[in-house]
Amino acid sequence: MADIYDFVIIGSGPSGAVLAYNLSKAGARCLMLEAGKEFTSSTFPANELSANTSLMWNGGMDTTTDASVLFLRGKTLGGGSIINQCLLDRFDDNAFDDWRGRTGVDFFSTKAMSQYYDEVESKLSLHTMEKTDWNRNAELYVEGFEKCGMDWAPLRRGQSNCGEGNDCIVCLGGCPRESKQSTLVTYIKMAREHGLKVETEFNVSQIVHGTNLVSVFGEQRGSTRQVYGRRCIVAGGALGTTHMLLKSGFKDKLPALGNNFNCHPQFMNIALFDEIVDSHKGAFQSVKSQDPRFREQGFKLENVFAGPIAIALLNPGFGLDHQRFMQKYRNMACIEVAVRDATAGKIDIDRTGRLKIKKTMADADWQRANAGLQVVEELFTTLGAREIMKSPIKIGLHLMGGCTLGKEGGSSVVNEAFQVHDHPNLFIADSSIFPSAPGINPALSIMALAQKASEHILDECGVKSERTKQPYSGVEVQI
Amino acid sequence: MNAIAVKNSVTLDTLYEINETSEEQVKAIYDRAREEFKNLKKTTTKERVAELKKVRDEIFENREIIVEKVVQETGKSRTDAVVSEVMGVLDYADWIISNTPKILADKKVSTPISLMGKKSKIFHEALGPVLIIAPWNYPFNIAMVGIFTALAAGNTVVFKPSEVTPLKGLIEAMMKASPLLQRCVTVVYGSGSTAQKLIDQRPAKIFFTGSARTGKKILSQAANYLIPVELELGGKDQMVVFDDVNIARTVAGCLWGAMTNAGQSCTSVERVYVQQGIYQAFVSKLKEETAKLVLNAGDEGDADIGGITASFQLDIIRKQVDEAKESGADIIVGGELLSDDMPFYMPTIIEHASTDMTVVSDETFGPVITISPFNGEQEVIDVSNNTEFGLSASVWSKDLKRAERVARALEVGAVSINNVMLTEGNPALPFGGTKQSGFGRIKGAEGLLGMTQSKAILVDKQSAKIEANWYPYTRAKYKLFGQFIEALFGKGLQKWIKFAISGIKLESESQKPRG
Repeated sequence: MADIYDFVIIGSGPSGAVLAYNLSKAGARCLMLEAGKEFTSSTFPANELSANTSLMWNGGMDTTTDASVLFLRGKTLGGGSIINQCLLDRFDDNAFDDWRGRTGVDFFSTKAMSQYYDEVESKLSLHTMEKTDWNRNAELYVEGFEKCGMDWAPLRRGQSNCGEGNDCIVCLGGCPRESKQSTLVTYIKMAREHGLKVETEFNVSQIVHGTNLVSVFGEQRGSTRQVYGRRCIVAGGALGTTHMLLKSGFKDKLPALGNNFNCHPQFMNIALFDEIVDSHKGAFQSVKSQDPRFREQGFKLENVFAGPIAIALLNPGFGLDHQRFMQKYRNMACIEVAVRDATAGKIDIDRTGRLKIKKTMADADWQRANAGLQVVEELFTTLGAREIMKSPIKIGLHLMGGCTLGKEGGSSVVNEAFQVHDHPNLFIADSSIFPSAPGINPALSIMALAQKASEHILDECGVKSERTKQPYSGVEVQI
Repeated sequence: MNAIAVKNSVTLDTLYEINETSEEQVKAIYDRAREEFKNLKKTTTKERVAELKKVRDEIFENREIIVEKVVQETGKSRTDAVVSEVMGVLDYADWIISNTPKILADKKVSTPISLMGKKSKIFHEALGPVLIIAPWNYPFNIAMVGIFTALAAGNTVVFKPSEVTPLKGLIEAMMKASPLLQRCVTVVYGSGSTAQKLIDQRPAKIFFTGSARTGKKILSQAANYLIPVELELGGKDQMVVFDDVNIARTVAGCLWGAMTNAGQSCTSVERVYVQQGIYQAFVSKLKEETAKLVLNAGDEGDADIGGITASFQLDIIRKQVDEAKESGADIIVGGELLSDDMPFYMPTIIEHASTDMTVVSDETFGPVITISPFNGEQEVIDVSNNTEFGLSASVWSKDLKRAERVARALEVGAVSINNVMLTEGNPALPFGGTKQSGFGRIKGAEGLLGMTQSKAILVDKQSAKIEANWYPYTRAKYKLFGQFIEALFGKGLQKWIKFAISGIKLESESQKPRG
């Protein structure tokens, strides 16, 4: 009847799952709330369209207010880890030095964080992609890089056993082989073994912070629901977490809430070749750019591709022209420019409580994008592409910030102990705390930060799962 | 001297300690209060309300500090605190400031024709040092309403807050805005034993708000000294819902009336009677809406229901509900603590409770209601009057004639029609109960006058004239009085002529000496 837990964890992605595991394992009563549904390897949607609609917020069609950037974010048990490629790289000195410089927080360093990276990596099955994994798209990528004298490296991915004959592009809609190391098959599974309770399709609309209690109000399958936690961990990602806090009125006391929103804008570039490339077959992503010049210039090049619906969306136009373009799906190779954005955006809500995301590309960002696009053009030209299409649509992946971590309440939302300033029972350790865009896939680092946060939270709060029934005190009623 | 720990009612951390007040201290306090009373007596109502205005402004300026302190000691939700403890006090302060001069002005009254040529009036005079003893549920509101009223009337005040929520220093800080009034109010900390000492020093009047049990103790102690007492005691308020109401709104009103301040209001809805035709629909809507109520304290204004302030009260609530459960009542919502280590009691709805259960017969003072169906008007009047309490009630019906009829028939001191706990929202209305809910009225003109004593004044002119009823008594005068009575009180058209003639004769006869 009374739904009260030691910790209510809102969100089931890389942050929420790691925290849920550590806290449950320590003996705390934890409840995980997820807005999406729970799928298993055998029930994941069978095609791209239903994957978008069943696994993502707003069908994968969240945009900025000017509709120039499209944001993809997971809404299913496992969160973003269900719909990402599970590329698990650590942040480098470049990324952490920038964060330390911005915040003055000492643990933002590869050295201080390495313990936490070690701990989460030990719980995951990691695989460095080998040459035998390459599909033709990857081969072209490497060929181009070598011809142009640029550095590349194999990707490290979270996967256990993808087996033979798989076309990994489908695992963007949930891995059907239980291989991709999403939180669903790793941390959530382990946390459940330690007693974690999970409630799905629970849409949180308000978080009420009190002296020693946090009330979480929402809706579940058409009914009002509320649960209570002695502490609450918000792990809904940059947009989700920031949105929940904004809707709950935290901006009054946290002026920096919603500021400093970053993403890695991605420009997909498609080249048409005479040969059949079949980029959608085999391992979806195997190699990455490792050129220090790119890092310096603020971009990287991704060896990726997309399903037919996404590709169709990327090419403006309609009718026969569009059809002819799509007919060449098998001839397409793809290199994506991922920009390490320098201009922070802002997350806000309108009067009805809906998300309002402002994220514009400033000159500095365009410089980075254009530098990358130029390299892509050079690569494809070198490879003898018949035609190169640069996408006019930017896809915002790796959504970060909005609840920046920092020392000062005026300019940040979360303190060094991952506690929301002035709200001792509320914690955040997801990508919303990022002080800037690192330019590296963030999933592993989110997990490492959540690992570190678990330590702080257990230090700070301990585990309050003892429930001893108080007898009636029998005190005389006095004046 | 025993130290009493004042706790944050949610975390149970000790905030500070207070001590009982000694007999010597109490004596000194009264000496000063009597001394100050002499000065205050010389002020006019206009001067006093001007001073009260300063205190009112101080409260307005410091409202967030007040809310913060109240929340800390009571554990109530922030919105409950701001609405009742700040808004309620300011509302009342404005009313008393603008109405006191009018209400306390010397009142002319008519003089009968038999006293022709004389004038009559009433002075509303201050009583002296009054003792106000306040409870823990609205520690600032009840304190300030009492203090404002007493000062407006010209009394000095000895105020004892509950030892559970003394709000130490807060009232004194507000009073500082007026040095004159500050000297007239002494806050005395301590528990029941301190209260006993305060009564022994014979205040001019005692105003007590709290439980019936304590009220009786105070009354019997005061009886020894013939100190007048006003008692605002508990309630078991009924809400009577006829089948012609808007269900959604009535349910919303029911929930607020029952759960505001976590049910720790003497006028909380505790018993709900719903007419059979809409009973099921009402109950299911009530369940649905109860699920939406958010419990918390220390919030920024979003929590609906706060904590139970006093741990002994939490015991009473738990005991009543647990006993009802054991005796066969159905707890359809709530019925337990949110967690055993926190003072949050889940909003609770109980069906099939009977009058032999304490949850129906005693005051619960928690977020708990019993609900039951009724058929006819007379039935619900009889059933809902069947309680020793009689504080306030609400009647809900589209048929306002019926609602008013029922309102008259309910044995209570206040009835809100198609609303709930609203009579106390109007400072001009008197507040108080009947039966075991106490007697006397606070607020409104009656409340202010209750802080005064009426002094009757009759003015005659200076002259040599001897009054007819003065000595000497003579046979002639006796006869004339007979004619005079016949004329004055008899019937017939000529009575006024007879009255005039006998009056003149009587007056002239009265000027003659005996013999």
